[in-house]
Amino acid sequence: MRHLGEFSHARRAEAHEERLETQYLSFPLGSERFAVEILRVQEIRPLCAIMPIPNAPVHIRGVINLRGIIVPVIDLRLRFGLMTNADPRFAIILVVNVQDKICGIIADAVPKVLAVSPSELAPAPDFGQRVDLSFVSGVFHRAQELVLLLDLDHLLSVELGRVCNDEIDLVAG
Amino acid sequence: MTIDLSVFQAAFLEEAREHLATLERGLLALERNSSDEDTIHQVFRAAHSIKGAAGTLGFAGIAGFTHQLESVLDSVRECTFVLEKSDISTLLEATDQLRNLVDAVEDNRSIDSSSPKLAALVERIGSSSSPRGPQTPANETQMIGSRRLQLEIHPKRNFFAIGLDPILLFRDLEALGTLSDVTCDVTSIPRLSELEPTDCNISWKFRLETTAADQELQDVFLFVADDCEVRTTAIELAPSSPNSLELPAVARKGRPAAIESATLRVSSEKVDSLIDLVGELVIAQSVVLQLLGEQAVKRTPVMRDAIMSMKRNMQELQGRIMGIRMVPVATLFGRFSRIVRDTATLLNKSVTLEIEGQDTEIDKAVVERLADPITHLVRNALDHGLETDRERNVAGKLEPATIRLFAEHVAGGIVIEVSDNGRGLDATRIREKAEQQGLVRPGDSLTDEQVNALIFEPGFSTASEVSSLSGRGVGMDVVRSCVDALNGTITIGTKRGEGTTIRIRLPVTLAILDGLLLRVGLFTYVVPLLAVTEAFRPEPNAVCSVTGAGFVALLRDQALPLVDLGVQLHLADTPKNPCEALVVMVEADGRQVGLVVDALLGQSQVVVKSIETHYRRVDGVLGATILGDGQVAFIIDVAGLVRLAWSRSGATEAA
Repeated sequence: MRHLGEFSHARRAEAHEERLETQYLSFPLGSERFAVEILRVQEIRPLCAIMPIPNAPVHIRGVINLRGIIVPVIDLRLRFGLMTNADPRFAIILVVNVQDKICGIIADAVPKVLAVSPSELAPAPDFGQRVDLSFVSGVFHRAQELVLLLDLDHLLSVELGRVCNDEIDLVAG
Repeated sequence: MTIDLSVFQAAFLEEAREHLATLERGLLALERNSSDEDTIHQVFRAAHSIKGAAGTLGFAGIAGFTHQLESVLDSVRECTFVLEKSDISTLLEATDQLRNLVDAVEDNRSIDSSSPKLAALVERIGSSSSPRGPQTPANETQMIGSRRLQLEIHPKRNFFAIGLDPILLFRDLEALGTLSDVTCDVTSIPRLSELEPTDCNISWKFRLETTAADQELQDVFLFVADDCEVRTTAIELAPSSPNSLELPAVARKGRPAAIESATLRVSSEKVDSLIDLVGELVIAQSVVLQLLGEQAVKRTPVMRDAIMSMKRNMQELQGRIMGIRMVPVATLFGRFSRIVRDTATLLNKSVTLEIEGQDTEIDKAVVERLADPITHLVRNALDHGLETDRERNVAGKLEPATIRLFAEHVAGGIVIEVSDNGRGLDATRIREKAEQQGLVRPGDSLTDEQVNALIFEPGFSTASEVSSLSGRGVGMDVVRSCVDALNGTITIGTKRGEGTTIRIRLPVTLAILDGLLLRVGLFTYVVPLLAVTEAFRPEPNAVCSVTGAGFVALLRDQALPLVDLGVQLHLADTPKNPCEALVVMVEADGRQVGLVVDALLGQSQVVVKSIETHYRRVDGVLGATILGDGQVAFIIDVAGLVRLAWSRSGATEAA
């Protein structure tokens, strides 16, 4: 009986862990692997023609037509300085929705769904000033790979919300 | 069940503002003709409506304040008090304060709702003719003796649906006297299976014993007059009362029924989403046509006819839906009678305001964004444009100083003009000032037109003194940027001693735009047709390089500065040879510029989509649109782009 009791205890702990698990979509970019919360992802689309925006930073690849909505597309490969080219045959656009702003993120291949429990998550490694990891909110290991968890709120507020700062500068100036 | 009143707040605010506008307009009309009965009634009704709505929603401050205003208007209506000019000023000030109170509701602030001047006016009129609202007990009013009335109330079917409640009527009536023999007629309630729960199928009969005057009774039904039939018969008459009591509902029965549904309050988001949807439909249509192929369509007459009729209907649909957003410019011009009156009084000038073409329709969004720039232009004209009465006498100008607001439809847009018959712009003085302020160098040769356009430069002001109205040098540049943002152009016509006309040309709507599709590199861009003058391919000997910094094209002996779109849009590093490309001549900030592009693809009406929704504002770009093939194309903000190009080449010169 004691054995059974122990077993059910273990099961309960497991179930508890399961309940706390969060699902992520993980995708490759070059030799690295990134992940975003699955609930932030609205849809996944094949890579289509992107209209470049004048005077935009290089990693803002341009805008696409998402059923009548004009949506910007970010190339994180260019943002993080990963110097390899994606194979356009496999590349996709992850459409994410962050605080009612819709944005596309280019990924090298169709993402995988991963369930991650909080105990697996570790804070982002500290490289000091050398590497900007402010867009990485945490890391976890999967199949001998390190997966970097993207902080979408931070990333998009910096990349798409820069206008706010610019405007404040203008007003102040 | 409790109802969250906050959802009605927005509707209240909007309505209150409309009533305030009526109030103001009416008061100004009364200032000219203080005995116009219709206007008096209109003004009274506006105040009464605000009071009623504020009371219902629990804005006691507004209700109380409007009550005072109403009491003054009531005595005017009853002819027991005649308005003097100073009283109208007091009432106008009270209207302003009321507007502040209403604004305070929106911002959730609380501000002082007392007005000593208005209170004094109310005091002067005395308590003998104070109005009878729920706040005023019936016994305070003139006694005309007790009488018994038989009343019937037949609410219309939609009585509940539009938010009215008969119990409120009964409460108000009870405040006037004693209700008895109340019977409820339920015979017209249908069977349960056919019953529409939101319909009102009940009517009432009752007796009322009251000392109240007819007017008080009418006031009870004032709000429901259109939505409820009221029949009154006197049973036992007081000697002074008339035989039958004419209530507004009865009096209005002859009105055509169509007026009841004349307007419909719909949130602008709903209309905008319709416009978006139709835009999508138009795009989808052109995609289908492209897939079918032009030849195939031409070969099959049945198909061609079907497509033609679809196209026609689609265009009609788009036009009609756009029409929903259109409002007459009267909504914009209306406010200026007050502004001109107040400003002219302040400046001690006698000024008449002429308004023409106020039925011209324009997108509501455009009208809202025009309010500030036009106000600025009018103030400027009053302050700087028009001379003082004495100066006019000296100059021998016999006609009265006039500000004229004018609007009319022109091809592809509308024109709004603000003109005065004052002293006109002084090009020499503008030039002097501009040189002082470093806007132009003393040696520069400028035409008068170019000199006049300097008043739109940031930081420019000719006024030697700063007044409370203008002269701070902020303004005209803001006016120009407002007009730019609306994708319009602004020009000045002026004649020394005869006056100045500021002419603003705008597209009718911000939602769709007539555009010229052009190709730069691999991509398609749209330039607003309104800005395009002509397109041509320059002859090799008509293009000159200017100090290696750029090209000009010679056209009819004029040097046209060229801007290479590919370079400006960062698609190319070096400008292409204009002789191998096309030059699209556009007007930006009152000067002609040539845009160098690869090819013209045609002309098309495009739906303007914001890039700011999910990205941010991009300099030199108005918005984006989706082309027939589903591709995104940017719409170029010509003035912004040219300014960007100039500032950039300026920067490289400096470097």
